[in-house]
Amino acid sequence: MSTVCVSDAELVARARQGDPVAFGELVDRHRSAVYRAALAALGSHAEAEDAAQDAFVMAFKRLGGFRGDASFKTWLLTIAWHQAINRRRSLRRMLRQIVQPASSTDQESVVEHVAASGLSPEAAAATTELRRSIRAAIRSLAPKLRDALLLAQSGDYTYAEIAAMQRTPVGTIKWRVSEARRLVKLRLREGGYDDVG
Amino acid sequence: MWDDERIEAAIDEAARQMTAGEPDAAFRARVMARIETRRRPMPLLQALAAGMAVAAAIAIAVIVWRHPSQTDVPAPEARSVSSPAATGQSGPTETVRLQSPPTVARTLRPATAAAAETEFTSANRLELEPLAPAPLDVESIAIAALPADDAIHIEPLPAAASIAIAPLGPDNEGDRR
Repeated sequence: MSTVCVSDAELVARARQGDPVAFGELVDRHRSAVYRAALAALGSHAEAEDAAQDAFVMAFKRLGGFRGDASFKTWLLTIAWHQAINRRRSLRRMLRQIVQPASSTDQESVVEHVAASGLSPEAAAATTELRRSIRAAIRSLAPKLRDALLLAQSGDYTYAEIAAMQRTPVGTIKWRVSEARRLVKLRLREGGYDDVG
Repeated sequence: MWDDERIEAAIDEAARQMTAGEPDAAFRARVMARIETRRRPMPLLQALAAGMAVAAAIAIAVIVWRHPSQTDVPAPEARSVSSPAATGQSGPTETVRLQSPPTVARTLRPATAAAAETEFTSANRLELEPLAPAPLDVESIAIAALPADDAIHIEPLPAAASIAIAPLGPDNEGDRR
């Protein structure tokens, strides 16, 4: 049976009855959101992949307990977030990876950036340097502020979904995002970007 | 040079990049394989081995229950020790003679569980020949009498002199405050 036009709720009902195709469709629909949430928490693609897999396996196991009070996506993201946070807590090396000085995106070529943006070489180099500084500033934030900022800016989640994931009021999440942005700007100023407002 | 709007946009862009990524197309297959592994029933061979182990344990338990342990080892007899002192002899020389050890008839029990399956009747009991070792003779021990020590003389202590205490008079009462 086709699952293209089937709602999440129907797929959940079919998966509960033992239909593996239905759960597979749910995996396909939400794998990006789950993966990015795990990536925001862990900062490592390999760990995010493992945490996302764990989240789906856990969700399948707990499918009988899904009451439908929230959407399946919210329920799934809550499980994924907890899986990722537990992994982050249990692995000390995760902390080192979050503050590592360079990732693949840090190594982006100025030449490529010039070609893509149409900026002058000097302006492109300055922009690349600015982004690198911003990433370093974000990594240096407290975990709660960093998590809120990354999840909010990823574009995959509403504030309500982030609040449900972190079991925190929406207002607190909004404050954390705002505070994170303020601190990033502060650290940019301290890093030599004097005219940052 | 860095206006606020540009900085805000740069922060948004940097945060987006830090969460950019997507699992590959095989992600679904990997998840389903893990779920299938959890759901898969125990392989036939493992189930068979487990069943046989349980059956063997039950069989052994039944056998042990039907044939409780029989210990026919008699209580060890008291060894008789003959000594001249006990027979009224006296003197520094004593001879200790050990009598023959008691005769022990022991019933051997099968040691293994397989042997335990055999009927354990009196016909299966194995009687051992009584042991009769030669009596042991111990060399006589001569103990010399200890010489009497000299008497210890203790000097008597001198008698203590009496202490004369003068009675308190009315002149001394003014000093007590």
